[in-house]
Amino acid sequence: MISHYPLASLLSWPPIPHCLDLDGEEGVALQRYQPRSPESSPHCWSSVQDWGEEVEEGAIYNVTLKRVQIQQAANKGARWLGAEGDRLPPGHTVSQLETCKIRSIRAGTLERLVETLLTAFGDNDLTYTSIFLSTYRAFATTQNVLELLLDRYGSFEDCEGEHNQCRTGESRVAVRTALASILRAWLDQCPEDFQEPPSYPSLHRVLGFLRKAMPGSEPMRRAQSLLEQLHVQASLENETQGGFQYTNPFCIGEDEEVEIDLQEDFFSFKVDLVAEQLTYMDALLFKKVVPHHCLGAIWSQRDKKDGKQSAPTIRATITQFNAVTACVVSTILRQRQIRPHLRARIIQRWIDVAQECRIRKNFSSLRAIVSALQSNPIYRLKRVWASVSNLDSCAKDHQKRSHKRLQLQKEMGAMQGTIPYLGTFLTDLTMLDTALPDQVEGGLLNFEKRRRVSTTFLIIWFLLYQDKTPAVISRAMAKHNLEGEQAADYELVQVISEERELVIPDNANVFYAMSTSANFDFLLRLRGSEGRPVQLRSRCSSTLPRTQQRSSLSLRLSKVTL
Amino acid sequence: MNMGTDLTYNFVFKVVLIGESGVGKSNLLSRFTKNEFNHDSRTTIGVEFSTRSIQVDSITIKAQIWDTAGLERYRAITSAYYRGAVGALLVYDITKHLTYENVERWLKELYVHADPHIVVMLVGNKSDLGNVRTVPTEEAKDFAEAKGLLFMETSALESTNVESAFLEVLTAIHKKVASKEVTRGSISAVTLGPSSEFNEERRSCFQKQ
Repeated sequence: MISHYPLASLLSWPPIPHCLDLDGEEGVALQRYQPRSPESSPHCWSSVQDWGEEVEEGAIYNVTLKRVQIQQAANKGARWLGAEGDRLPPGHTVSQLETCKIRSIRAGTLERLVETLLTAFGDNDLTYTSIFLSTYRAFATTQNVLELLLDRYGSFEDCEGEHNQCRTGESRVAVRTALASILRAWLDQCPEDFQEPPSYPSLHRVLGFLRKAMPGSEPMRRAQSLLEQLHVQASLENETQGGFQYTNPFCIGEDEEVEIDLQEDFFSFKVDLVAEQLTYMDALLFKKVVPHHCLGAIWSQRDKKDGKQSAPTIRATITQFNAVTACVVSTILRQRQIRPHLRARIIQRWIDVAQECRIRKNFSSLRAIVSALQSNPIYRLKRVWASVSNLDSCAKDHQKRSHKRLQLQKEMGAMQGTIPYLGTFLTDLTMLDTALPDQVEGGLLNFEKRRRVSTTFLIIWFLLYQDKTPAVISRAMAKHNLEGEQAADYELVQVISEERELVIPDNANVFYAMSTSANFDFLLRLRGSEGRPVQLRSRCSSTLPRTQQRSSLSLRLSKVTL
Repeated sequence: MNMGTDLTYNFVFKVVLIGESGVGKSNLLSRFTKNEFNHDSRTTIGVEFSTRSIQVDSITIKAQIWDTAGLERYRAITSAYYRGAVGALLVYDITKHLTYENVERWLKELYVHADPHIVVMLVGNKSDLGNVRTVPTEEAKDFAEAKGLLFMETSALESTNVESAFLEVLTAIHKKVASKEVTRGSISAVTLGPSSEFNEERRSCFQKQ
């Protein structure tokens, strides 16, 4: 099933194989779960080998060995990885197998998890930072993490203590650089963490560090502009709300009913116009979704006392969803005295709208309409449904319908759309949250759980990630210190195989344009330089705090050349 | 649930888990079905329930257990979720009195949407936290008796009574069906043998998606 799931292969840790029992026509239930050893399926997993566990004080690591073939000029691949390859003479090409040791933290104390932000890159655990940032709220607060990070590693005085012994000036600079890069990723990925009016203590803390450590740097400017932005936002809200504290402007209270006044005849609206309008409304809300609001640990607190204000962006999409279902139900039932076949026409009309939503890949409204039609007040209208079936000859054909349903499920799940139905993710994350323990042996925080949770975030991110090619290119350039150059000079290329590549067109939405059957191996290339060596290579997903590349914390020898 | 083993069950019973959020519904489910909730596959395929087959008096019952995990706020979705259910576990948290006070509301909703013959068990979860209990066992037991519900206290954490709770509900459903107390068709999701599989499939066109 992983193969349906293009994004799974983006992750640097091996997806966990599992066995599924499929039940042909019907739905599919996960009957059992069986971790397979890498050897059992040489096809997919031959390049990754489980190397066991490493246990340290307050941390447990999973160690895997991954064999990677290096075909391109070694210095370029290595430059990407920020490793020792930089020292190879230019043009020196290597074509050999390299074994890369990936050491990823499985569980640890909060202190160790925070420390890992600085060391993960050297351990080849490339996605650690972004996973940590998107999930840490389940086990710590912003203040907690900042304190641990900056008190211990960001201090400017001469430090003693075991963690800082023999730290040379050079390595201290490296630590600071790494810190700045983590903070930058934080400011970029989760600016809402710093929404602490009126005094914004966390953001001031960050800014204070960056001013001292890297005055005038990009991360510092980032922090500064975020602070200004938050101040402006707050003062605007004060004006409009008479000093009321922070509320989300786009959040309609979930329990407020959205009145939909349908004085107009429903039939006076064109089907595609209705679908278009619904899609527009959904898109506005979906773009504002903050993925970690779906976090099982946060979402399941939503009904608790202090959870009322939590996850406003998710609540807003649900309010819209419920409004659509209410609208469907009321248009069908509003007129009491009406012949079944007339009521059936209204249902038919909604089915057509649903179909249009599907074409627009608006799975939220599609699901809302279908749910409304299945809700008891509508479902029980037997005579009306009989007329609907007459209208829709397709619906008579159960075979066809069940096939359609299957296809629909696949679309809703695997590809999701421009606008997904968030409920799927909420269920998954809630299930994951309950099924996996927060802590493992010895009370260490279970970070493996966070890794699994973040897979779902990644998907949500991708769906929010409606970027056209130029935006992706400039982001990649920013990540790799190429900001000085012109984004327009570069093109984005997906490497399909040794021989084939796909140049992503400039006007394309990258998420849809890329090939999902191939590796997610992307590169940036100077235009008109085909055939010339690669400029930059990337897995498109890994958030790679750029300055970590220069971090010299990776003292461990993590690469073995075979 | 491949085609091979599909033919070996005699009944399919749909059971729903209801109750306030945070009472441990999903935990009970994962305890009983022993599934790892691999979210990758769930999302891909759109599975909305977990199954487990059990033996009662040489008869195989496939329990199809539905959990609204995280979806309680989508009103229309929860309404469709009750359809065809022949059993329900109404769960509250013995340490949070409010979750118990809301049992009546859940019961009302259940009877509005579900089959009148549905077998309901009141489940007081988190019995491992007896020292901070706010709902006395006797009080809940008496309430259940007055309303004609089965009753049990469980701990999903320590796996106490989880198996028994589900088994008791499934056995009670089976008794109802076997004693012909209810005519077939009244409990609609019950499928007798593989020959009537078609019925189940037709129904599920509406249940899933």
